Amino acid sequence: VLAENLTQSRFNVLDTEDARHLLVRTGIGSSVGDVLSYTGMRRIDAVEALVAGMQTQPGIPMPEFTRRPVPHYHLRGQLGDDFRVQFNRQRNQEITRLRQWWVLNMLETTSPQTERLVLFWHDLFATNYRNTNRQSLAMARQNQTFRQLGFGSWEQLLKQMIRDAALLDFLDANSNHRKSPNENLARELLELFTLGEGAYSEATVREAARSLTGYSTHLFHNLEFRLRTGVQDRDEKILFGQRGSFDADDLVEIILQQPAAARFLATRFWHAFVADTEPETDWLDWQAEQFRRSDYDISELYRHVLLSDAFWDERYRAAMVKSPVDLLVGTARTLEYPKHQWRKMPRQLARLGMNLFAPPDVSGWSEGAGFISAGRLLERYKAVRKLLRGGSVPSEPFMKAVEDESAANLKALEDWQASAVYLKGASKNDERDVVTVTIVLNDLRTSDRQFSNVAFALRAEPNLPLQLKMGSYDCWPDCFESMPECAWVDRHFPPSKMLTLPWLNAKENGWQSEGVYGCQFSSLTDHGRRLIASMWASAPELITHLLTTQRGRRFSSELLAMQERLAQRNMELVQTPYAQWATVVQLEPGMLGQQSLMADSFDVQHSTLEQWVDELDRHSLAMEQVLLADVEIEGVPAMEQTRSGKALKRLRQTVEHPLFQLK
Amino acid sequence: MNRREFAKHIAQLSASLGLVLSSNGRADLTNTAGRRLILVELAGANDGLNTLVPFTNDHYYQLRPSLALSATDVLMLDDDMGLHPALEPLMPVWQAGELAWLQGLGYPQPNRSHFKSIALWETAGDGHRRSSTQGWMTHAIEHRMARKIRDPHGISLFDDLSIFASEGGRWLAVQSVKDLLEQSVPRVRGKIVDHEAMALLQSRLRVLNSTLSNVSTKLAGGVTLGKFQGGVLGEQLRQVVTMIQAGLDTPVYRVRLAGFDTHKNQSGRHQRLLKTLAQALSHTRNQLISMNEWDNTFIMSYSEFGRRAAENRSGGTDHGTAAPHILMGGSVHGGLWGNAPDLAHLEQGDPAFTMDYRAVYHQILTDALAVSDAENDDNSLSKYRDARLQRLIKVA
Repeated sequence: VLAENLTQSRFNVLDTEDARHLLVRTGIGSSVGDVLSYTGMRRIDAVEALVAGMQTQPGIPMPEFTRRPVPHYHLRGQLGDDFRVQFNRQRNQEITRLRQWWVLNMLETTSPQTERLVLFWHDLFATNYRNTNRQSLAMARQNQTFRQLGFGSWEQLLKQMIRDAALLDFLDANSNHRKSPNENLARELLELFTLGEGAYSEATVREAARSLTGYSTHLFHNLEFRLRTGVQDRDEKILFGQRGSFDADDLVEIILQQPAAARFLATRFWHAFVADTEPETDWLDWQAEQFRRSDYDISELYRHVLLSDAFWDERYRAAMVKSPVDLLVGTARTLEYPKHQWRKMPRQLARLGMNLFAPPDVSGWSEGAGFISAGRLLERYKAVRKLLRGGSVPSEPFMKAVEDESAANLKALEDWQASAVYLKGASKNDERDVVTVTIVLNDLRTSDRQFSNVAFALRAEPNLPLQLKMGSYDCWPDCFESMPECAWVDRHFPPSKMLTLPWLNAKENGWQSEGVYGCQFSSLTDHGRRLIASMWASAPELITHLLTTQRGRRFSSELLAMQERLAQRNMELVQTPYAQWATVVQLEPGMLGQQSLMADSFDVQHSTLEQWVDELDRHSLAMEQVLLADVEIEGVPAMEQTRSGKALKRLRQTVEHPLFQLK
Repeated sequence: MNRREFAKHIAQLSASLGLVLSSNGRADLTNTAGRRLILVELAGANDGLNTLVPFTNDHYYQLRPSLALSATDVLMLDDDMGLHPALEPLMPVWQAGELAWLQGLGYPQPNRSHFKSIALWETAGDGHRRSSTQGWMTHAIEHRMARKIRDPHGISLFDDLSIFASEGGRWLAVQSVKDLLEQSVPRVRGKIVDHEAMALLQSRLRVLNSTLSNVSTKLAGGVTLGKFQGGVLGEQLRQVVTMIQAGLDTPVYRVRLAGFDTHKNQSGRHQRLLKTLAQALSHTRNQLISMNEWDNTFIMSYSEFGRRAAENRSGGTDHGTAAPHILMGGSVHGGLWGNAPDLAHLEQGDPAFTMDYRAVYHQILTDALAVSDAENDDNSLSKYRDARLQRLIKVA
C-alpha cells in the first residue's frame, strides 16, 4: 500500500554529492570511504543500508561508573556540607566522563546514524543533568533507552520515557501527587514531546497531570521506576473527550490517537533531516498518514522521510545550520582525523552552544539561528581552525622538557610503560624543612589503562609520612579503577583525579595508614596499588635519571634532598606485602629523542590530513565534493574545484567557505 | 595624519587647554564612545560579610569566631561598617566619593548552587522564575541604546558568553586584544534571494565582519599599556582599557576573578583575592582618569551569592545568599547604599537580602547606559526599581 504513494525516485542512483548529502544529514560528517561506497547505490538501497546498520548498543561501553551501585541520592540531604560538595563533585565528574564517552562514541561509531538519532531524542526529551539532582546515572540510562527504543515503536518509547528516572526528576514528576498535582511533566509531554502547542486545552493539561500521578523514581532502589499507588489519582479523568480512570500509559495511548501526534513527530523529523524552515503541507500530511498507518513505527517514519523527494531536493541542500556536533565531531569524522582532541570536544561543544546532557531548557537546543549568533559564529570559525591546526597532545611543560632534553622514556617490567618522564618542578623550603618534587610521565600505559600524562608529586615534610600525590586527567577508560570517593578532586575542566598517599607504614597495616589518607589507598584495586607501589619504588631511579638532565641540574639541590628522604624510607618498602608489586622501572634514555617525540605528537596530524587529501586525489574526488553541499546559491561564489596548490592550504580554504557552516 | 592620530592630537590639545570633554559623544571630537559598564565577576561566591564588615555588630563576632575582622583590622567607612584591610587600594576611590557599596543584594527564593545562581544573576532571574536564556542587558543594549553602536555590544575577557547570551547582537568572547585582531570570518558578497539558511548566515557574517573590521581599524597601532597591578584580573582589565583607549564604543565588558569558593581556610585566600581585586580596580581607575574616561566608566562586581553568615569548622564559609557589591566610577555617587542585612534574624542561616539586585541593573541601564527601560516592555527591569537608588548614578 505504501509503495503506491512512493514515487519512482526511490530507485534513483546516488551520485557522489547525493551520497554525501545522505550521510551528512543522517549521520555525523561523512568519511570518504562512506561517500564512495554509497555512490552508485539506489536511494532505497542506501536508506536500507543505513537502517540495517542501526545499533541498540554503543560501540564503546559506557564509562565504568554506570556499572557501579547507585550513589545514595536519598542521603545527600543529610550529608554535611563538605560531603555534599564532594558528592556533587563526583557526580559532575561522572557526567563529564559520560560526555567524553559520547563524543568518543560519535567519533568511532560505525553507525553515526544511531548517534544522530540518539542526539535527536536527547534534544526532544531535553533533560538537563543539572536539574535532575545530578543523577548522572539516570542520564546514562536515558541515553541507553534512546539506543534501545529509539528506532522502534513511538508508543513504547513514550511509555518508557514516562518511567525515565532523569526525565521524571527533571520535570518534577516525583512531586506529582493526587492531592497536589504538579503539571510540569504533563504540560511538556503534550506541548514538547507529543502534540505541540495548541493541540490540547488547559483542562487537558490538568487531567493529564492527574493521570501521571504516581509515576515516580525509587530513590532507595537503584533509581528504578516505581508506581506509587498511594499518591496515584485513580478517579475518573476526561482526556480528549474520553472518560475513564486513566493512568499514564492510557494517557500515552490516548495522545497517540490524536491527529496532531503523527504530524508532530513528522515535523520534528523534517527539522532534524530536511530543513530549518517549516515543512511543506503536502509532505507533512503524507508523512503523518504513513506514520499513523505504520502504528507509529519510528523506523518507518525514518525511511519515508529519507525517501521523500523533499529530502533529496536541491532546494533543501545546505538548508540547515550545522549543529556544533556536526561542525566539530562531523569534521573530525570526515577528515578521519586523529582522535586526540576528543577529550576536549565536550567543552568545545559547550562553548559553541551544545553542552551535551545540558540543553538550555526543556525545549532543547535552539537550532539554526541560535547556533550562529555573532559571538558563536566567531567561535565556530576559531574551533574549526583549531581542529585543523591540531597539535594539542603534549602538555606545555612536556614540550619545555623536550626542548632542554630532559625527557626520557621509561619502561617497567611487563606491567607498564611511559613514553617520557620529565621533571615538572621541585622546591625546597629549608626553614620549614619541606621538599617537593613533581615528576610527570607522558603517555603512561598500563595493562588496561592509558593516561596521557600523570603527575607524581613527592612531598617530604617533618612529622608527616612521605607523601605521593598523583594527579591525572585524560585517562582511558578512566583514571583509576574504583577510585576512592575521598580522592576525587574537582578541577572543573578538565576534571582531574588526585590521590594523596603516605609512604607505607610497614609496621602496622601496610599501605592503610590513618586518617584521611587511609581511605584513599585501601579502596584502590590491586591494579591501582601496583601502579603506585611501582611509582614509589622507582622514584629514586627516576630522580637519579633526572639529575642528569639539564632541567634536573637546575633543581639538583631539591632532587638530592628528596633522594635522601627516600633512602631513609626505602628499607621499609621491602618489608611490606606490596614489595612484590613494587617493580622498579627501567629507564631507557635515548631511545626516544626529541625528533621522534615531535614526530609522534605533532606531525602525525598534518601528515594524516595530507594523506586524506591524497586519498581524495586517488579517487578523483574534489575536496569540495566531500566537504561542501552541492548547491548553487545565487550570490554565493562557488568554490573552485582545483586540485592544485598545497593540500593543507586548500583544505583550510574549503572549510572557510560559507557553505561549510551549513549542511 | 589619519583619523586616529588626529583624534589623539585633538585630545592632547584639548587636555592641555584644560577643556573638559563631553561624555555623551555629541559634541566630542576625540572619542565617539559613550558610557560603558565593566562587569567584574567574583566567581565562586565572595564572602560579603568579610568584605564589607559590620565591625560593631555583636552577632558578627558570634557568627565568625575565628574569621571575624576587628575594628582595628578594618578600614572604617563609617561608625559601623569597614572594609577588609586588603581593600586598602580602594580607599582613595572611597574618599573621592566614587565608590558605592550596594548592600544586601539578593533575590527571592535564593538558590545555593553555583551554576544555577550565577545563571540567575546573568539573566536577571530569581528562584521563582525559570531563568531566561538571554543575558540581562543584551536586549536593552541591542535595541534601546540612545546612541548607535557599531562596535561589539559586549566583550567578555573570559571565554564564555553566558552573561551575553543572545541570538542577535554582537557579543564576543576573546582572550585579549591580540586575539580580537587575529580573528576574521569570510565575507559573503552579493544578495541572496532564495536560500534562507544562507541568507541568515550571510547576514550574521556581515554583522560580524563589519564589527571585526571596525574593531581592528581602531585597535591597529593602538598604544600598548604597561602591566597592570592585580594579577590575572589586572591583565584582563589592561585589555579592556586598551580597547577603551583605542576608542572602541563597546557598552559592556566583562572580566572575571575566580577562587572565591572559600569553604576551607578562607582567611589567607580571601585576603589575597581581595587584594588582587582592589589593586586591579585601583590601577584601572588611575589609568582611566588619565585618559579622561573615568566619568564614562562604571565598574560593577557580581557574584553568584554571598557566603553563609556563620563560619564552618574548616575555617571557611559555605554557600549563602545576600552580599554587598561594588559600583564605582567617576559618575557614581559613592557611599553606603541600601541597608546591611540583619544578622540577628537569619533565614536558614543566611542574611535576608535587603535589596533586589535587579534594582541595580535597572539603575545602571537607565542612568549609566541611557537605555530607555520602558515599563511596558517585557524585558524591562523597571519593575525592580528601588527608590533608594535614585541618586546612585549621575545622569549624563
